Amino acid sequence: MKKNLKLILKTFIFLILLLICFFAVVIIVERKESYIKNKNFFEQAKEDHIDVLFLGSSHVINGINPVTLYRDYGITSYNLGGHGSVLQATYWELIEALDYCKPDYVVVDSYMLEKNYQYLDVMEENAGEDDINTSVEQLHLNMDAFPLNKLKVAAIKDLIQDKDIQNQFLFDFIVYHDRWEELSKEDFGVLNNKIDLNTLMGGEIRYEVENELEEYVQAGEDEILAEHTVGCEYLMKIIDECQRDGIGILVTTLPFKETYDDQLAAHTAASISADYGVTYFNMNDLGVIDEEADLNDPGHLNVTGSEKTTDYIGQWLRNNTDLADHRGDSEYSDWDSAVESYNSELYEQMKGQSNLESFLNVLNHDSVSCVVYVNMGSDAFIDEGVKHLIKNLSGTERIDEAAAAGGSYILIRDIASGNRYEAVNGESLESVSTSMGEVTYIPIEEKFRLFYRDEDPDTNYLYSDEHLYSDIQIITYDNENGEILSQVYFTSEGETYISE
Amino acid sequence: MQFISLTFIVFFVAVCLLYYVCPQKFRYIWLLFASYTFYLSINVYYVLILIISTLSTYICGRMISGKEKVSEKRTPLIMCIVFNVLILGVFKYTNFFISSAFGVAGLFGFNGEFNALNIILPVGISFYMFQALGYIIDVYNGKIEAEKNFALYALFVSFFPQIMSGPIERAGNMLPQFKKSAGFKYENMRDGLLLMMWGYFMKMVLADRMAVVVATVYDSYDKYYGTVTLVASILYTFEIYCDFAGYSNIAIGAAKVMGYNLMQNFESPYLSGSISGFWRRWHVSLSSWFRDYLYIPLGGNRRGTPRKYLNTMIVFAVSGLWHGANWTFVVWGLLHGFYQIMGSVLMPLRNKIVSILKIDRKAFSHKLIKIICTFMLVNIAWVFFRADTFKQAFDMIGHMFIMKPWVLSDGTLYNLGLDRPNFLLMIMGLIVLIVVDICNTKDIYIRDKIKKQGIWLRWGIYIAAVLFIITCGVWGPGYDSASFIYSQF
Repeated sequence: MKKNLKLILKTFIFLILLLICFFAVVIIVERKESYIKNKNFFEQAKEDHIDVLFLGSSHVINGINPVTLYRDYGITSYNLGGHGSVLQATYWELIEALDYCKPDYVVVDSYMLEKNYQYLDVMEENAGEDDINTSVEQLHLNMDAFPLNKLKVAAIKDLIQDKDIQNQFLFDFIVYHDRWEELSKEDFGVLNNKIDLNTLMGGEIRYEVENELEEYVQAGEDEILAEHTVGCEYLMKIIDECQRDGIGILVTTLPFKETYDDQLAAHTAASISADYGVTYFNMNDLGVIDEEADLNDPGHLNVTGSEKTTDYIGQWLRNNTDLADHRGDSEYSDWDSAVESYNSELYEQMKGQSNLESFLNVLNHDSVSCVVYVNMGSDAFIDEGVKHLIKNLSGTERIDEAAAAGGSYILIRDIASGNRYEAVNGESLESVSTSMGEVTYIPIEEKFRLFYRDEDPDTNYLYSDEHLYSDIQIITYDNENGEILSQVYFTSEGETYISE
Repeated sequence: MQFISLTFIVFFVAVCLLYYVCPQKFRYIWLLFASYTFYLSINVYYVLILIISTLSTYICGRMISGKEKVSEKRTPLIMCIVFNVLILGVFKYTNFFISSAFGVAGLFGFNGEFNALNIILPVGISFYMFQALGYIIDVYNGKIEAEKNFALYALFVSFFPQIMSGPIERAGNMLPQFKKSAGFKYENMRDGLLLMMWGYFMKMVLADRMAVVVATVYDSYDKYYGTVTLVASILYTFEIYCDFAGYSNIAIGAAKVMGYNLMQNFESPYLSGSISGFWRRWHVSLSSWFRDYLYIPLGGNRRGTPRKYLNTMIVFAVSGLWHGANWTFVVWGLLHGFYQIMGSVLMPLRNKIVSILKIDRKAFSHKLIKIICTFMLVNIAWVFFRADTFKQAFDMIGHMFIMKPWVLSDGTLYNLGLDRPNFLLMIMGLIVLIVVDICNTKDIYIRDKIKKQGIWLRWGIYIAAVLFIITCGVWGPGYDSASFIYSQF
């Protein structure tokens, strides 16, 4: 008897050890994207620090930056937007989220309202295998972080039809055990919390600039979707859920390049919102963004677009709700850290980019001052996209003068003084005041010009033997002390710009 | 329900727990119930064939039992064998015979088109039917008494660990064990689980990884030449070993956990120094079945050399046909028969060469050469086993010996369906497999060595092995768990 008891005890201990090790392996091999994006949600929810919840697709992930919202308005929020999230997936993300927090306000984006299928592993009748795989994979990105419980089981059953694929969501080790061959330091770091989490409270910033936008047929204002779609049904469920729980709700269509169907979906979202007495705004109609500068691609906003969109919603929330301003509250010091971290990231991004358009666009932020020089004959002068970005920086149209005359162009954007100095063709700038001190620009000939601090005329910042044939140069310098942060050269070839 | 599934693991644990909770005299009833549940989970209709085969051989056994006169015993025996072989033939060989007939007719100018009939082969039929036939032949030969307890006999035919792919057991070994229903022994559980783990390693980590490379090359055999083809053929040789021996180890281990000893099915076959040695170590339960129930009744070695050779060819042709209803399988079997006959014919010559050159037969180099030669002969034969057509087989063999050794180092091998980490893992796993097999031939058993270690090291090894298999094993989305090669036979 004693021997049997000992055996049972040993077996029990062995199984416990095996289980512990197994769970460690499960955690290590799990794909970390969902964890990285959403871990802070659970932390913030536990602290009851989430006043606003942003929901929707990747449009929301890239379009709303909770850290900017806090920085500018003191409103704390979390971006639970999901990659490829159709509205039924968004609904379940809301339900899952409400299990952890009760925000004062929910902002839900209505993109993909026209989608009329229930199951993400089935999709439309003619959906290709790749589309279905992507759809399922994206749901993993959104759902993996949520622990297995009855709610998750219900969500997966509602979103996925195939039993085997359902199991892959409930026990994702089925899918991720194959990751043994790509494990990195980060994968092991999750065991001792040494992993770089999303510091933008669920938001993600993109930096590229889309410069080839198609134009679509404009829908009439009264045109709406021809049928009541699954997307409509779940938008109504989301509104219902929030209203039942006493949570304020705002329905949006964040800016992107709308197709005809997207416009119908937006009109339908407006109609549904009106039926429920809920505020809705289609930001495509409000002129919030500059399409030529603020889109990363036709569907997603970049850093400047995100700043503008977040600012617009921040203003609305400030004017229409009594959400608290948490700035200065020591309990929210981690939010201040998030702001610092975001500013540092921006600062780094502004110091240099290999893509000219991205570089010019990010320089719109005020963290860093810059000098933009375009040499005579540069293809940039015939590139409307680049000229538009330079105009955004200068606030004038003078780049067109240089383009018309075939001359050179310089812009000094000095943030500390608020001055913007421009010179085109043969114009000089003499002893203009900047954070670098007084600086002088004198164009001499095609391959030679002078740009120096008056106190150090021997250092010519606009000439380099190594970059003799580069026709675009961007210099960044610190707003406070004028220290040169970077000098980046580009050579134009048509509308392609090669960074050197 | 397949061995490589969570469902089977849960099923197996539940069966074992209830088995040991069950009173000893009812345990075989529980096992019979579990076995039929297991088989039902594969396909409801297959069970009918199983029941018919079980009933017919049970009745035949009872009819033969106690009869003294051969003439009284022979008729029911032959009827029963013919009946069961007919069932097997209908399900397994109908399309083969009809298509062969069409082929022959084609030689005489008949140009009919044959559309294969949609006949699904019941899983494991070749295995449990041979087991049942072995039983009635043993009863006929008076080696064992006919079993009176139908449930006990039905369990012998349908025992779930082995019903799908063997080992093809003998009634004399299994029925007494089922009657006795061994009690719980920690050693049995531990040894059984370790064996199962080794089986899962062979199947999930090795066989299913090698299958990817093999399928890539075989499916596009006309695009691959030289060493790549040779590597693929060698990997198939290991794949089929790991696949089938892996299955056998899981089956033997599962039975062991419940206290039952099944016969060994593989004994390091690729370390054999001759083809006859290979067949003493490869699929032992089937080889010995053919020896006992076909080769010896045909006259075996007793009727002179020409008849011995003929019997050998017949046995291997039947063995080929047993493995698959295709002439490529028959050729595979005949090739092995030919190897064996040539081995005998050339024996004096080989002995003479050894004597003239004063080769030390015990020298490592001599043994190694014999092992390599045997391996390569077996390897070539497996090409026919794996190929769908003779053209494919001959092209593969032709391409195999074109020298392109640089593919071993230029990264080509990482473009055959497995990336570098997976390919290297497979190679390391193969090295482990070969080392373990070498140890086994020297009566060094890694399992025993591990058991002698202190508890923390022992447990550490067990846990690491389990985690390694479930992490690095090939399973999950896109994996076909029904892909044990021998379950198709």
